[in-house]
Amino acid sequence: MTKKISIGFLLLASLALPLLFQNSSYSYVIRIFGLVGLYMIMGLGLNIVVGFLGLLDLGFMAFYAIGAYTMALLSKAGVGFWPALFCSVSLTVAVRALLGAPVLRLRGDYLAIVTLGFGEITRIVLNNWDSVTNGPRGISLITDANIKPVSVFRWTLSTNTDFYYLIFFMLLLCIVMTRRVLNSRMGRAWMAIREDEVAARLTGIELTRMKMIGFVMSAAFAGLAGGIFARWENFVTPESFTFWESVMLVAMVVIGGMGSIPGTLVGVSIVVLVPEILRNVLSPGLMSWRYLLFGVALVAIAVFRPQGIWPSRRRERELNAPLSEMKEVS
Amino acid sequence: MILLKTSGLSKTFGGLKALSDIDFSISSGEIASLIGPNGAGKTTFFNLLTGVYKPDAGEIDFCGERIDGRPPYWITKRGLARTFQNIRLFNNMTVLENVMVGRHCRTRSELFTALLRTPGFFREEKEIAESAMERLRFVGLLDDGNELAKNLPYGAQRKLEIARALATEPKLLLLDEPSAGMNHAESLEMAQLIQRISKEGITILLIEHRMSLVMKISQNVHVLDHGFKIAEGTPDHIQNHPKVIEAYLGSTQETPEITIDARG
Ligand SMILES: Nc1ncnc2c1ncn2[C@@H]1O[C@H](COP(=O)(O)OP(=O)(O)OP(=O)(O)O)[C@@H](O)[C@H]1O
Ligand SMILES: [Mg+2]
Repeated sequence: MTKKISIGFLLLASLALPLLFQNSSYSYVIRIFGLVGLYMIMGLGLNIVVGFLGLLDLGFMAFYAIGAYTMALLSKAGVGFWPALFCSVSLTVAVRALLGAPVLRLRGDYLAIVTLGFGEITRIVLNNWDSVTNGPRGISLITDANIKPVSVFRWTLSTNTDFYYLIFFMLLLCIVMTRRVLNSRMGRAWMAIREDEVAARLTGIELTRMKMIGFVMSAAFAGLAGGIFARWENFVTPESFTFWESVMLVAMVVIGGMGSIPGTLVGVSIVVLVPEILRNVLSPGLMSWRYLLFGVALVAIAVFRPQGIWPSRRRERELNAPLSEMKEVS
Repeated sequence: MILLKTSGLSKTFGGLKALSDIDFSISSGEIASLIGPNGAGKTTFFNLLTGVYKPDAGEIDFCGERIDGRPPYWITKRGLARTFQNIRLFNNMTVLENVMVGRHCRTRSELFTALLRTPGFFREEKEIAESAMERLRFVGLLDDGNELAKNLPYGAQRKLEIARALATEPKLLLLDEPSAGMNHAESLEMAQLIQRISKEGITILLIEHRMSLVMKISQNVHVLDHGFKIAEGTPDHIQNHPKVIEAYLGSTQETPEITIDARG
């Protein structure tokens, strides 16, 4: 009951937030929370890979980039927002499947290296493929008359507040989808793989196939967020999609609590908002120290609360138990 | 009718011949035991049958089909399930969820049915939960369904592994030392459970160190030593087989009955 009330309260607060800040001097807050929403969508996707399949993905931003560039290029070509968004997601998923097919058969550690490499390659390609991506100058969507407006039914979305609501509803959709998948045969298979890969295989789970579905599904979230970002920002450049951003995303999932939906949402909020808050409360002299402070906070969480701030019920118990990993099959 | 048959099955690890040229067969409905001293290659034999390792040489036929070289999920789906010598449960999932995972290979719903929550999805989820509960009731763990697997006492964990294996609807169930670490009363209960599983029409091959259990429930006993199959036959026959006595005692000394109980 209290859970329902607090969820209801959070939903209402989220809906009311833009109305409160819209006409004040704090209107930039709406933009920041919009960004938080986009990162939450991505975090939910990454959580499937990191928290459920137990794989380390260090190049997740590449798929955000693919979604964003697909949207930018299609919009310039005169494609409407919704069909373009569909293409962003589809292309992201397709690329992810091509990447996953060879590497998911390998041991987990390789995946970290391959995804890291893929993230860098993507950024370098975007930087150098001038004829398509306009290189480091990026693609601007502001002046082009070809571009169709972003519209939902009869409303046209243009302001930060408009996009905030779009992102908010997309986020809700993503939460519902994630919950549904986790509470199904697929979700149980993913959990089993995380718990004991060998036992999962020998209980009849097609390991590669199950991993592939989770791996690919996670990228759909990134493609969706990227597509929305491109039209909101009206500008995409390779520098938005660095290795650093990918690492921060992993940090968000780990800090919040791997394998937990509320944990992911909390982790994202903290990692995105704390630097913003520090920016406002610290004196200019201390400004350049804020990432250091932030880093110290991350280390502290890793040491004192390794299961994350809001762990999944199961993961919490697991990490408090003594580690006795069995490697051999016997 | 022969359910499973191997011929010339061999496996080498580095320089170690873990299994050499094993000819083995088991008939439908049988309870058979695989015995042998520590390191004889018993678990390796299970690992070859279930597709964990590929044999270096030899064939495995199961229900008239070659299964060697096939991946484990494929073999499980054909009807071969197993438990592990060192219990391997999905520790942080509930007891019921562990068994529900066993239903994976008999059910189909994937991403889209789960996302759209189609009527078929609910029907299948219901089927999964119900047949998982049925297996739990069968092994006597229904009341612990919501516990986390790792919070179960040791003996119950062994039963849960069996329930999970049963949920895959096996024709042949491989049990790797099901009574290891149990006291006398618990091992008697395990023997009864194995016999009840057999009555359900499931063929059983068990690795066991506890000779009283082996002799009591198995119709056939196969003996491995240093990777070689040294004897097979009825419990009585095996009990008095000179090679078997030698393998266990490391000498040719005549001993009337094997009383070795290497693993508690
Ligand atoms: N993956 C592996 N790599 C290397 N050697 C292995 C491997 N698996 C088993 N062995 C070796 O093969 C031999 C047979 O091992 P196996 O586990 O099959 O014996 P076992 O009969 O089950 O013994 P126990 O009664 O102790 O369980 C042993 O010498 C073991 O060390
Ligand atoms: Mg063994």
